Amino acid sequence: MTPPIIGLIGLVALLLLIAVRVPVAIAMGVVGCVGGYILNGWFSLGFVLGSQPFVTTSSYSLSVIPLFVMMGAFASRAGLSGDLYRSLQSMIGHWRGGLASATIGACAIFGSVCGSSLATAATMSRVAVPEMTRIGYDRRLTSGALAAGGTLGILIPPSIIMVIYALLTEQSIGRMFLAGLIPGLLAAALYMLAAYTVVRLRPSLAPNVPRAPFSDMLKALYRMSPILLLFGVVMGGIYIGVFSPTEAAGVGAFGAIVLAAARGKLGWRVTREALLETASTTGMLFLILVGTSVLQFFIETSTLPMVIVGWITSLGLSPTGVLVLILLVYLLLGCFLDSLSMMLITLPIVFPLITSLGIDPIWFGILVVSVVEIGLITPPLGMNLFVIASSVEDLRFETVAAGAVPFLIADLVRLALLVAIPALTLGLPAYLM
Amino acid sequence: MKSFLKCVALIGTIPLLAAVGLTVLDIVLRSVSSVTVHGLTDIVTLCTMCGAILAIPYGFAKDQHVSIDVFTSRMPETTQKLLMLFAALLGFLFLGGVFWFSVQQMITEFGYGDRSQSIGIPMVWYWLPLVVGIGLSALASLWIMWRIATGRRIGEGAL
Repeated sequence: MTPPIIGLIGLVALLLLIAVRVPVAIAMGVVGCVGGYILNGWFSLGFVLGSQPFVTTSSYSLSVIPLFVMMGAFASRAGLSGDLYRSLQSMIGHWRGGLASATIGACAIFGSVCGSSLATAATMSRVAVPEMTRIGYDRRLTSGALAAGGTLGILIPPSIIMVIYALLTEQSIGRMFLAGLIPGLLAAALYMLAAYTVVRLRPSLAPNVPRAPFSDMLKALYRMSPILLLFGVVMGGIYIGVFSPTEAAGVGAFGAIVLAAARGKLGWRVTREALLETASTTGMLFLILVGTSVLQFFIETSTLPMVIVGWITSLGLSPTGVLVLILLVYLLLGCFLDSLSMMLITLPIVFPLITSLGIDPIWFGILVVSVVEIGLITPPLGMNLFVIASSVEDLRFETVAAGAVPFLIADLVRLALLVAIPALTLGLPAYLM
Repeated sequence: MKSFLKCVALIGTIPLLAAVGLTVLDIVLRSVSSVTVHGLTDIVTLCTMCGAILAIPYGFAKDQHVSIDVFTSRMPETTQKLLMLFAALLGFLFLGGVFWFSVQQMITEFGYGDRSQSIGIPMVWYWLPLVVGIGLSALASLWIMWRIATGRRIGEGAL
């Protein structure tokens, strides 16, 4: 049996283990061990197990992960979500389907400091659902807007998944963040357009809300200022060059803690909860990185990526054709795999292919984050659909899934735009860095 | 076991808070003077390793490590239990392997007396959180196997 065939069997075994509920990190590690042993023997396996986990986890650049996670954990407990939602409600609530748009806007801003889609969806559902239900918004529209809006948490920088992509592919985190800004804003705008279109077609789904007085809008801006300030300091600091992404994450975590304290939310219980969330999320991410490091060694020594690159090249497809093909596979995988796992399992194979075709890794990274984000609202494993369905009483999964369809269409439109116009992604980093 | 692992994870976050404080202090210091926190990179890396790796066993106790149950959730309960036992066994074997070989490597590096680049922290300090965290994770996998085998609950509900 040739090494590439062993590599391929390893990948199939990996998917099988994941399908029978073996934790993704463990599945990657076990397949990496067994495959590595078959290909390189016991001595090599011992070397990999004794060195790769340490080399992977002892890098300074990884410090950015727990610090951004901590920023999100404290920001989501600082009581910002309610103010943010009410602010956007008074600013754009009078639009057609305005409360759905306000929900999406609030998710976009909250997601920018939270960095997690699931946390954004769960937090915003607590404030948006009661208000939209009180006013008489359709439950499908409400839940769909929330599920879709929640995905903006990983699309609008700073985003943990962008950080992990940048670290694994040795790209600049700052460039990734800048590149994600316009696609993130485009996603929010297209979601709002989707909500507007749905309500335009079926006005009964969303009652009209009167325009708020101008003074209320000014107050709304004031109420939003802390979260905008936090976002501005973190992102602005990176681009002005005052601090590195890791330092920005530290400043962000510090800012979120100060914000929570200033708003009187920083009791022992909240602090403990936020720290435990930081610990469990960080531990989960680092274990996955340990598993990935062992798997990656196996995949590389199997030469499977090179064989795939050769095979794809022999098909004579254009780089864009290959890119579209890869994105379609990602969309399909997104229906069944968790977002982070999907990215980590596929990158060792796909990334060499992308670079060999001369495709910009930053552009590809944003496209990957976009498709991974779409996976969060595609059944049967759209995690945001589960989060919204479980956080609202009497809300069925099917209702949320049906409500997310217009936003899914908006996602596909955005993906097509990002593929067709690379400048949407690469323009800002090229201009500013 | 579960309370102990929770405690370990919480203790691990203290260095993370220290990393936040030192990072901010460094930025403030270098903004107003030419002074910086010496060896910040080394210290923050060590803090991160403590916070991140010591939290891994807690993830096992809470059953929070990413896994996909969409295919198994409709299987009979006995099959699900067997699969969970299998997953925990694989976890124990993999983590046990990482622990064993990491300890060997740590002892070798301890013998060399390697130190970090900027402030000379002994490299063994960086290895300690890794071997402790991974070792505890392997034990947590054993604990999960025992709980499944004896019909006890695991995960969030068990905490």
